[in-house]
Amino acid sequence: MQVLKIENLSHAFGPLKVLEDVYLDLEDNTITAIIGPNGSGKSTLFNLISGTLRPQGGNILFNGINIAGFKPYVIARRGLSRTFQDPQPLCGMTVLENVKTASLLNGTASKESLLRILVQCSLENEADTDAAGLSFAKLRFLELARVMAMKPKLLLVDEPFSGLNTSEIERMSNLLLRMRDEFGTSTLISGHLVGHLAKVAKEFVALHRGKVIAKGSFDEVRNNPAVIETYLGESNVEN
Amino acid sequence: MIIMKTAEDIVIAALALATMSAVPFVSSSYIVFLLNGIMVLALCSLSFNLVYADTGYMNLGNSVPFGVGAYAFAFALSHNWSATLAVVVSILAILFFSALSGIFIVRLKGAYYAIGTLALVLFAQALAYNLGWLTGGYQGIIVNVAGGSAYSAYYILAFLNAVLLLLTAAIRKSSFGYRMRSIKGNEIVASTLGINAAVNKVIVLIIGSLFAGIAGILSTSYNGFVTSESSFGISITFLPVIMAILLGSFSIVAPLIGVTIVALASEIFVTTIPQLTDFMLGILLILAALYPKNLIVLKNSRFLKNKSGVRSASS
Repeated sequence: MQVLKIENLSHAFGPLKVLEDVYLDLEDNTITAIIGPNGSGKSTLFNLISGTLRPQGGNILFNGINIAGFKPYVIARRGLSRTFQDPQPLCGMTVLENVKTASLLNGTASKESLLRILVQCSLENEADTDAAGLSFAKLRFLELARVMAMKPKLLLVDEPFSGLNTSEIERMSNLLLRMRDEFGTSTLISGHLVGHLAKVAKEFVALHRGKVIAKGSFDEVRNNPAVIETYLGESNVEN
Repeated sequence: MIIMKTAEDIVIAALALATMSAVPFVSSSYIVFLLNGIMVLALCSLSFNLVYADTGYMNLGNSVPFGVGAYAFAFALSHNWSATLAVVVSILAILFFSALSGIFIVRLKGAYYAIGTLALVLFAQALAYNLGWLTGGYQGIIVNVAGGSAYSAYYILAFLNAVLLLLTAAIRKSSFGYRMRSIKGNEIVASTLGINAAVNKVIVLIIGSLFAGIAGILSTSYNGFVTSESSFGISITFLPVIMAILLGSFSIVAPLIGVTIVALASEIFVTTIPQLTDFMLGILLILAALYPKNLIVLKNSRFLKNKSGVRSASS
């Protein structure tokens, strides 16, 4: 079954077309990577799906219901969570309070279950620290801890590996796989480190100047001539 | 219990309660009037802080529900309605107008929210001057005050201040409190966590306005009059705000200390250098704005340290 189906999605900032006629299918219980150079429209796509930006045209079917134009909180309550490319803590609240606030979506979560999430994200020592004071890598994991508390059906993670070292990336990858297995979360993950993305994602989608130029397995996308020309010309593929 | 955790706190609270209850018996009616005035401002200050400390939204229009309560109560009494009916009607009017203004300003953010709420005060003031049949125009409304009403107002005000203080503490620990603080922390993130910021903002505004409005009702009840100046003037519009932010929002009792400092300073200025009262208050406010962290040494004393684990909202 398809958890997410995007049809004909377009968006422009004034004269600048950021997304044009984007089609995308996301199967249930899968992790799909979306790659593309900076400015290719990845974050805009995430903002449109999560409702933080209002689509100007097209359909976004989430579990069969067109959520295009819905408010972010309505979409979140339907089971869609997201993280931000620039980590966005709830300032003035502790790490634990950040995660607790996210967990309110599903009623009351026990403190133990919240602490368990913090342990999984290596944040247990910072539980009572003001979230705004965390290091960059810790903030990345706080973003993930929050969505883990929401147990989403569909998760959008915007460049979660940026700014992390290899072991942190592995930890993050394992948590995403775990969410897939435990909550049945389907994930759309964006990024540049395709080698790392290939370890978690089954499907790849390549975006360039607001258009989908390739879809398929990692190898298919990697060997696609248009993709090679666009992004992998000066390859940063790690394997 | 959230603010009273140790036996020591309970003793302090009990002493405060005993002192407050004894005051009317041992002091002059001048002191009771003075304390009533201070407690009216305290209630307004706490209700401002309820919205501001948690959501970060500065509601400069708190004097609107105050005025609605004060005017509605005076209007009802001057038409010989029973006191009970007058109170009920006034509260309904407060709820109606605060919901209305809440819906009107809910989309405003940051400084625009503050400006929008301030505009409501000017709007209310204009209405008070122009709807003479309802408000008595420039003269306002005078009502007959029963003997001893200052004393009953005194106890009700003290009780309501305590209620609002406890309510503020309870809200902070509740999921509603978490939602409000997430709005202050990052409204966009809050919305992606499934939080309807608009609804929460309106609800907290209505709760805050209700208390400010009841302060208005009580102010009419013992003063015996209401005018546009007594409702929407600088004293009700601005002093509670200054009182609330004087010490920052490091603790839910901070506004009460701010209230005491500003009110006593103002009383001292009025009795010693009446011509310079506004000037001296202005100096105090400028100092508070320039040195919010240094002005008050009390801030770091043990009693005021935050024991509830609720973090400072001013940082």
